[in-house]
Amino acid sequence: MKELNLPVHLLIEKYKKGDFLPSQLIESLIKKIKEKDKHINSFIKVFENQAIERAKILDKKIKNKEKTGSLFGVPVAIKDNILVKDAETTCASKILKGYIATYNATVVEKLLLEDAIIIGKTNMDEFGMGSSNEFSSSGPVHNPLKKGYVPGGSSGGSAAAIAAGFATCALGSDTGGSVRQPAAFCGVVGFKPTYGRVSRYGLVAFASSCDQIGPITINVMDSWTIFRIIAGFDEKDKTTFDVPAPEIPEEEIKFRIGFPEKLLEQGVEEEIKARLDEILREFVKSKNYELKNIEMRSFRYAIPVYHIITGAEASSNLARFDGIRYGLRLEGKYLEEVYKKTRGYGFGEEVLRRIIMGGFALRSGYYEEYYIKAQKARSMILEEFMDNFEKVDFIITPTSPFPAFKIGEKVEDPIKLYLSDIFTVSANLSGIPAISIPCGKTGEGLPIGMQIMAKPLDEGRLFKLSLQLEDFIKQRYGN
Amino acid sequence: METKIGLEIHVELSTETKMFCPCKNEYGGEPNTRICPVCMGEPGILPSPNFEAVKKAVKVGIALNSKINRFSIFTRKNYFYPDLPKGYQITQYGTSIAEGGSVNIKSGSVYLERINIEEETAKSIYTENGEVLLDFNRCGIPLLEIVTLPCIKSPEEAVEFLKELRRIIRYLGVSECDMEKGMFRVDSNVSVSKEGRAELKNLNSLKAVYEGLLYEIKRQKEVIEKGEKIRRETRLWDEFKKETRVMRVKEEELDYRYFPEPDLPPLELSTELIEKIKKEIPELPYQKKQRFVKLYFLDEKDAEILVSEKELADYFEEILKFYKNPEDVSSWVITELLAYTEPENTRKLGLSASEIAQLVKSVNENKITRNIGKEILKRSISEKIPISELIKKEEKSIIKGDDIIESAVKEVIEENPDVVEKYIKGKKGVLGFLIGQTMKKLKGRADPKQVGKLILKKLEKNS
Ligand SMILES: [Zn+2]
Repeated sequence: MKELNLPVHLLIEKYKKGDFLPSQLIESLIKKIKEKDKHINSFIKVFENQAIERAKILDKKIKNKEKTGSLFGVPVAIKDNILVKDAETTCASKILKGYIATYNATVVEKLLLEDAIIIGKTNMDEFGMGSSNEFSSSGPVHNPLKKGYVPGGSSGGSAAAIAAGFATCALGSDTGGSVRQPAAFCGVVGFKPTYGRVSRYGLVAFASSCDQIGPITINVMDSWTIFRIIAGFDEKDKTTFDVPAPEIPEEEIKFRIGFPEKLLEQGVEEEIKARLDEILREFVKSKNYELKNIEMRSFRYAIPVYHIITGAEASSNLARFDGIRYGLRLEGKYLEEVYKKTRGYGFGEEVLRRIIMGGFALRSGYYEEYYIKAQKARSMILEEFMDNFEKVDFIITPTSPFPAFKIGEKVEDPIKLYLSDIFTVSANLSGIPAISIPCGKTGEGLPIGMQIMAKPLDEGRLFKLSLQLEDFIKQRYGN
Repeated sequence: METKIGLEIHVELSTETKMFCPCKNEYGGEPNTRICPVCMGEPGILPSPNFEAVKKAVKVGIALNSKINRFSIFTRKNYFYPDLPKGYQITQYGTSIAEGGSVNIKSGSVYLERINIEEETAKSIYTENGEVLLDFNRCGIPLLEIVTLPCIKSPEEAVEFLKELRRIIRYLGVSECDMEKGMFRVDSNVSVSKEGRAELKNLNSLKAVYEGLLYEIKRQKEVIEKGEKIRRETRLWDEFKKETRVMRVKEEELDYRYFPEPDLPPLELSTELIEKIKKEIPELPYQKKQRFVKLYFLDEKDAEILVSEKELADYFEEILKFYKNPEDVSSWVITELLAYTEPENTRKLGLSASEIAQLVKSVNENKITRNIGKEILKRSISEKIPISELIKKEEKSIIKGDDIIESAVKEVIEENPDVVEKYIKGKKGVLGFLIGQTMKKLKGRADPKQVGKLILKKLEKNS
């Protein structure tokens, strides 16, 4: 069935025309996943029976000409740190083995209301901590575009599933680039909304002040569609905004684009830098937009600041996994032994590293020196962004300084791995929206991602520009 | 050596629902029936603050003369324990909902440092075979943490302060403050010298507070007299052995790794809201007492008893609506009614204010004797017969005609010639005895004043 890779609106059109039924699509999709995911490992769990059952209910809606939702029959893959009621949610961690979610995340409720079909739970770096999807209790994910390469992380499974055509859309979570970077590595679109746009209720927290759920899709329009559905104030998440939904402006706007050239001088692979340079210059010329060189001096603090804050929050957020109420429990002679055994065995190496580091930053006597200082630097980063957004409408960078790398290449060197997030973490620290769109491939055939950042709540204009850029790039480089 | 005591009081607020989730806030019940993903600390949950609890906290702050902060933040206090499902407690640290404040006691004022809003932990139940069971019904109930400055000088003052604090909170109607149910819990820190102090835990009743502090002060003084130093440590009061013992020393103190709760925006209160709550504050016990003294001419001691519980004070004033005789009503309430119940439970006796009023009035108007009045009260409480019905019966059986009384008087005079003799010789005080004897013969069914008159008449005739 070649219709498997259609974008949302075309897929729904086919259903409406009666070309095929939701159940037929889901059946062939599941067959495809069974056949091909062995080599990719993008799913932790495929909801084979449940998805077909739900599709059959939707079949009837078509037959009875009932009203249908805006994601009618659209297969969606959900990252395994987002709760789907009655399904195991592991966060790719041994410690949550056997935990069955007792409720639906708000985003899942919203997707189901629009008649989406949840096809399964996708692989990830344990609790969202990682940039290569190598830190997973379910094993590493392979990049569908190049064997032996990582898909990026932490939403590596979601990005790989979309790139492999296992689902139309996927949800990921982005704490420091975890949606955008894997999307870039897999040649798909990944979007992190403004902090507070999308409810985090039902997203297993990694770092509460940075986490945001975002869509991974084959194109920009689908990203917008999913975003519009999952966004909005949620009574259950007090950090969500009660503001009107964003709209893509129809009128022509002469956009001003900021490009921090100096920032790209170090550490960015030449091929990536050249590609972005070329696209931007020509695009701007064709549209008669303005391209400005801007400075982002605070970016160099972003990685350490990010790790102190997210580590601190993670050390607290992950304290609930103690073996007492749910998930894994290793017995001990006394309470402390239960804690030590359960957590010591249940968490992977990278998660333990971050918990220990984060807990340290919060200790009395060190708190001022690390956590408070990091918070100050964090507001500096936001200030610099806001200053720049006075001069430009968007800031564009590569999503990652390098394309997908070989599995095992960086896993032994956490610092090197952390650096792959150098361009993405600042958007999380300052809460601004950011999208990664594909812009062709390297000579080796590895996708290149371009990141576009906008000011808080400015998603409407961000998507307008992204659609234009996507168009321009597709015309120039093809798919 | 100067004794300094600081207290930390935890008060469970009575609200419709828990602090951060929609579960009902009730006491006890079948274990683990009032729970949800939020108060069980399941993955992915987020807290939603209970505004009713916030308003009640503000109410307490205003009543205790604290400064209400228009902005305060929630903080995470991190530590591992099975009764703490998230591995952290949401509390306030650094920026509280209310700061400062004071409570007046006889010897002066007790000053407060801050009032925080936080969430209750689960209840651990220790079984006979050494298991620990957890009941999460209690987990997440809104809790107020009230911290005093170390300005209390004696165990007596500490107890007096706690009684007054509890009374104010009960008057506000924001907590039952039942210490036996753990709704009002006390921890303390004590020092008798400039260096070294001890935290004191497990003070589960006012008696434990008093005895625990007394013991600890004595212990510290003895340590210093021996020339040793007071170690900074947390000690536990053992109510059975009547001693405090070390729970943990300073080096073992937990590092709570406090940091601002990222899941909650700052708690913001408008000045309008604060003003509105201010207007809702009822008359507080010390204000009520002053009013009772001024308005009803009660003496301080009686007024103090009447305002000890809002329920009792309200009851008293309700009775006055039916019979405006504050002196006698207060006397009946204090000496008779309170013989049957605790001040907070007076209404549970099931006696309506109008009936009590009728009883006091009937006695005052000599329709029944005071003793019969007491009898009626007792029967009404034990047999659940309305007072009015009993009074009617008694009134019927009361001997009004002079002849029956006269014959009883005659008998008494004949039986006590020596007493009569004394009276005639000028010892007028024996009249009371003769009245008493006559009343006994009449089984109390006569008006003692009428009896007195008839005795006098008879004696005058005799002399
Ligand atoms: Zn609950």
